[in-house]
Amino acid sequence: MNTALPVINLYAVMPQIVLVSAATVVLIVGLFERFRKGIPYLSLLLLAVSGVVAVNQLGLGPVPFSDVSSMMVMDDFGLVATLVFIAGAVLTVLISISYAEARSIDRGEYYALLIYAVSGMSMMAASTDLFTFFLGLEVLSISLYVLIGFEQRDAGSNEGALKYFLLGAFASGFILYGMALLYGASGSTEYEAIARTLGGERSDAVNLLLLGGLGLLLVGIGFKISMVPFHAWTPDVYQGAPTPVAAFLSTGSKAAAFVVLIRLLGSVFPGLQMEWIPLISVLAVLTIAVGNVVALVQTNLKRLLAYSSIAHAGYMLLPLMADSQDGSASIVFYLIVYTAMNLGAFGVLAVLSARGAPCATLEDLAGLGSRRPLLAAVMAVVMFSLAGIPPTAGFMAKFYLFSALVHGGYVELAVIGLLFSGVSLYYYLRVVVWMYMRPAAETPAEAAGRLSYTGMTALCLSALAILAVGVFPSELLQLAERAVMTLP
Amino acid sequence: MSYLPLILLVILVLIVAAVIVTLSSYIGRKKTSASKLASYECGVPIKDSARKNFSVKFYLIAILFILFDVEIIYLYPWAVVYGDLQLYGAAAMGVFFLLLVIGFLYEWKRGALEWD
Repeated sequence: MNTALPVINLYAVMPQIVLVSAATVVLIVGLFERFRKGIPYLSLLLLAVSGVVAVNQLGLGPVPFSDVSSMMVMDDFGLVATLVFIAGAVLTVLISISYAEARSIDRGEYYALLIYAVSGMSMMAASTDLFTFFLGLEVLSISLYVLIGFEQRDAGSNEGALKYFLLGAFASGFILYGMALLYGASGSTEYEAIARTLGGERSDAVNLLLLGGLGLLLVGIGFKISMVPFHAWTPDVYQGAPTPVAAFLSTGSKAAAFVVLIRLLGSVFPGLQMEWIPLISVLAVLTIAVGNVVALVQTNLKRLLAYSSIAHAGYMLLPLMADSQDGSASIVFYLIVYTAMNLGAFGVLAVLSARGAPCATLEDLAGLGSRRPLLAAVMAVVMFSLAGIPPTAGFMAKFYLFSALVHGGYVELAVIGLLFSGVSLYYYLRVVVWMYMRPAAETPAEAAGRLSYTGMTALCLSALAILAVGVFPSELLQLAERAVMTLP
Repeated sequence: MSYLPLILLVILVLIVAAVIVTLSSYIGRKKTSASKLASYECGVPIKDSARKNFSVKFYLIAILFILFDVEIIYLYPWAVVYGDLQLYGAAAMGVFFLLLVIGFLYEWKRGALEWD
C-alpha cells in the first residue's frame, strides 16, 4: 500500500506560522520572572518580524496551501489584512505597557494571547475553507475571552469576559450550524465548491439549505462585527475589558470578521445576491441608526466609543451591496483607517488610566486641553477623523465608501449614511468641547507625573498616520485596491 | 421503505420494555428497607450527597489529562500508517509533539502540577 502524500506549501502559510511561533516564544519567555519588563519589547520585535515576512510575500500572487484541498491561500488580500492586524497589535502592545504595569497584569500570557489572537485573525483572512475560517475564529475568540477577563480582581472585567464568552460561544454555534447546512447543500466546505453549487442548477431543497446556511453564518459574523440586532454585548464588554484590550477588540476582531465577510459575500455568495442584499441593507441602516442615536446620550467614554464602533460597522456593511472592486477596496481602506482611529481613541483613555483612577467619563476629560496639550490634540484629531471631517483619514475613508455606494446605484443608502454621519458630529465634538472648553472641577489623579513614552509614541504615530492619509490618501488606496484585485 | 424492519424493531423494543416495566411494578413484591432505597454506588455504602463543590484543582487536573489523552488518540492511527508516511509523518507528528511539550513545560513551570 502506498499513500499519496499531499504536497504542502508551507511558504503559503508562513505569516501564520511565524505568528504562532512568536506567541509561543513570548509565552515561554514570560514564564521567567526576570524577563518580565522585556516581554512587551520582545513581542514588538516578533510582531515586526512577522510583518516583514508578510510584506515580503506581497504581490506573489495566489498560492494555495496544498494541492489536495485549498484550505488556505496566500494572496494580497489576506496579506494586507494580516499587516493591518499586526499594525493594530503593535499599537495595542505600545498602549498596553504602562496600563498593564499599573494594574499588574503585565504577564507574559497577556502579550502571548494578543499575538495568538493575531494569528487567529490572520488564519481567518487567508482561509478559503469553512474549517480554517472557523479554526481561526476560535483561536481569536478564545484568546479574547481570556484577555477581556485579564483583570481578575475587577468585577467589570469578569462580567465582560463572561458576557462575551457566553454570547460568543452561542455565535460560534450559529456559525457551525450554518456551515453544516452549507456542507449539506454542496458536499464540501471549500469556498470554491460552495460557489460552484451556487452557480449551477439547483433544486428548491438545495436552495433552502444554502439560504439557511448563509443566514446562520451572517448571525455569527454579525455578532463579531456587532451588527444590530446582535450588538447588545458591545458596550458592556468594551466597558469592562482592560482598555487596551477593548481597543484591540473593537479594531482587530471586527476587521477580521469583515475580511471574511468580504471574501464570503463577494466570491462565494454572489449567486444569492437577490436574497442577501435587501437583508444586509436593512441591517446596515439599523446598525448605523442605533449606533449613532444611542451614542448621543452616553457619558461613559468607553460606552460612547462602543456605540460609535457599532455605527462604523454599519457604514462598512454598506459597500458590500455595491458588489464591485471599488466597494471591497473602500471597505479595506475604511478598516485600515478605522483601526488607526479607534486604537488612538482607546489609547488616549488607556494612557490616562495608567496612573491613578481610570479615565472613564466625559467629566474626566475636562480641562485636558490645558493639562495635557499633546494628548488632547491627539484625541481631537481622532475625534475629527471618527466624525469624518477633512483633512483627516476618516473623511477620505467615508468619501471612498459613499462614492463606491453611489457608483453601485445605492444613492438612498448613501444619503441615509451621510445623514447619520451628521448626527455623529454631536457626540464626537462633545468630547472635544469637554477637553478644551470645560475647566476641570478638581485636579484629577492623572495630572501629576509624566505619561508613558511608549503609549505617547503609539498615539502620536496613529494621529500622524490619520493626518497623513487624510492629505495623501492615494498610496493607501492603491494598496487596498491591489488587495481586493486578487479576490476571484 | 428499506428502513421498515428497523422501524418495526424499534417499536417492538419499546413495547417490550414498557410491558416488562409495567408488569414488574404491578406483580412484583415490594419489601423496602433503608439500604434498598439508597442509590446504588457499586455496593459501597453512601457517605453523603454528590451535589457539592469540588476544589478547582480537580478541574485543572481534568484539563491537563485531556492534553495527554488527545495525544494518545492521535498516536494510534498515526502509528498504524507510519510506514507509508515516512519522513512526512515523522515531521508532522514532531511538530504536534513539540507544541504539546511546550504546553507541558508551561503548566509545569506555572505550578499547575503542584497540589498546594
